[in-house]
Amino acid sequence: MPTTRSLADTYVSIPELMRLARGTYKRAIDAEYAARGIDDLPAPGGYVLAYLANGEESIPEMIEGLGIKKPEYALFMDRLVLRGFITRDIDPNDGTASFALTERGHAAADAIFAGGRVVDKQLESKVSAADIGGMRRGLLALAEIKQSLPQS
Amino acid sequence: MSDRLWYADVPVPQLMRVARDVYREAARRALEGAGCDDIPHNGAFVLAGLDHSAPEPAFSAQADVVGSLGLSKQAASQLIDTLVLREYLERRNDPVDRRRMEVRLTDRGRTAAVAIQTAIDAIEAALAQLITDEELCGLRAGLAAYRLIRERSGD
Repeated sequence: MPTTRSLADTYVSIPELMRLARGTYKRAIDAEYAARGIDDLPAPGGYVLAYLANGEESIPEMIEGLGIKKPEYALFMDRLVLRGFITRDIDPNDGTASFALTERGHAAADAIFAGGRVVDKQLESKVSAADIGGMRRGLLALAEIKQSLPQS
Repeated sequence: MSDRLWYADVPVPQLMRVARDVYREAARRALEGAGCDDIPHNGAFVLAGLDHSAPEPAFSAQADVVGSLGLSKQAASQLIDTLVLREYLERRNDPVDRRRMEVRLTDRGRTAAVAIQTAIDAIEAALAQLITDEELCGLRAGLAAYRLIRERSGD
C-alpha cells in the first residue's frame, strides 16, 4: 500500500510551516464574525477583545507584544471605542483609563472563542495531544527566544 | 499546587503570532547586515526556497515557485517581478518550452538567501536547546496540520 508523506515528515523549515499555517484561525474567526454581522473590527483588535473578555489587566503591555507601540495604543483603543466594541472610563482621581466590552464587543469575543474552538477541535482530530503539547511548548520557546533578542 | 502546565492556556494564535516575529526579526536583521534591506513581503520565502549553489544556482520553474507561495496568481507574479527588478532573481524562458519562465538566484539573491538561512539555523539551534526532540516533532506536526485544516476549509 503506498504511503503518503505528510508535510511534517518532509523537511520544511519552521517559518515556512508557520507561513503555511497562518490564517487558519483567522479564516474560522472571520466566518464567526460574519455570522454575527461584524465586519469592521480593526486588526489586531480581536486580541484586545479576547484579553478583556479573559479579564487580563496588563492590556497595554500585551498589545505592545502585538506590534502596537504605547504611543499608538490610545489611538487604537479609540478606534475600538468609536466602533462600539469597548467603552472607556476615566478614573477622576488619577486619570487612568479602564476599558470594558460592550454588547457588541462581547459578541465579537464570542466569535473569536467560537472560531478558535472550531480549529482546535479539528487540530485535535489530526494530531495527538502530545504533539499539540509539543507544538505549544515549541511556540513558547520561540517567544522566549524573541524576548532574548536585543531590542532594535 | 496545580500540575497544569503554565503555557497550556495561552491561545495558539497569540503564540503563533509571537513565534513568527522571532524569525521575521532575525531575518530582517540578517538581511540588513547583508545589504539586502529591500526584500518585499514574502520575498524571503521565495529566496530561501531556491537552489543556493554557487556559482551557478539551478533554475526553477516560475510556476512551481509561484504555486508554493499560496498567494493569488497576480500577487505571486508581482512578487517575482519585484525580486527580479531588485536583482535578487534572474528570469529567463525555459529553453525546452519557451512558453514557460524559469527563475534562479542572482549573486545578490544568493547573499540574501544565505543570510536568511543562517538566521533560521541560529534560531533553530536555540530552539533545540529549549525543547525536546519530541516537542520539536510536535511543533512541526501541529503546524503542518493547520495547513491541512486551512486547505480543507476552502483556501
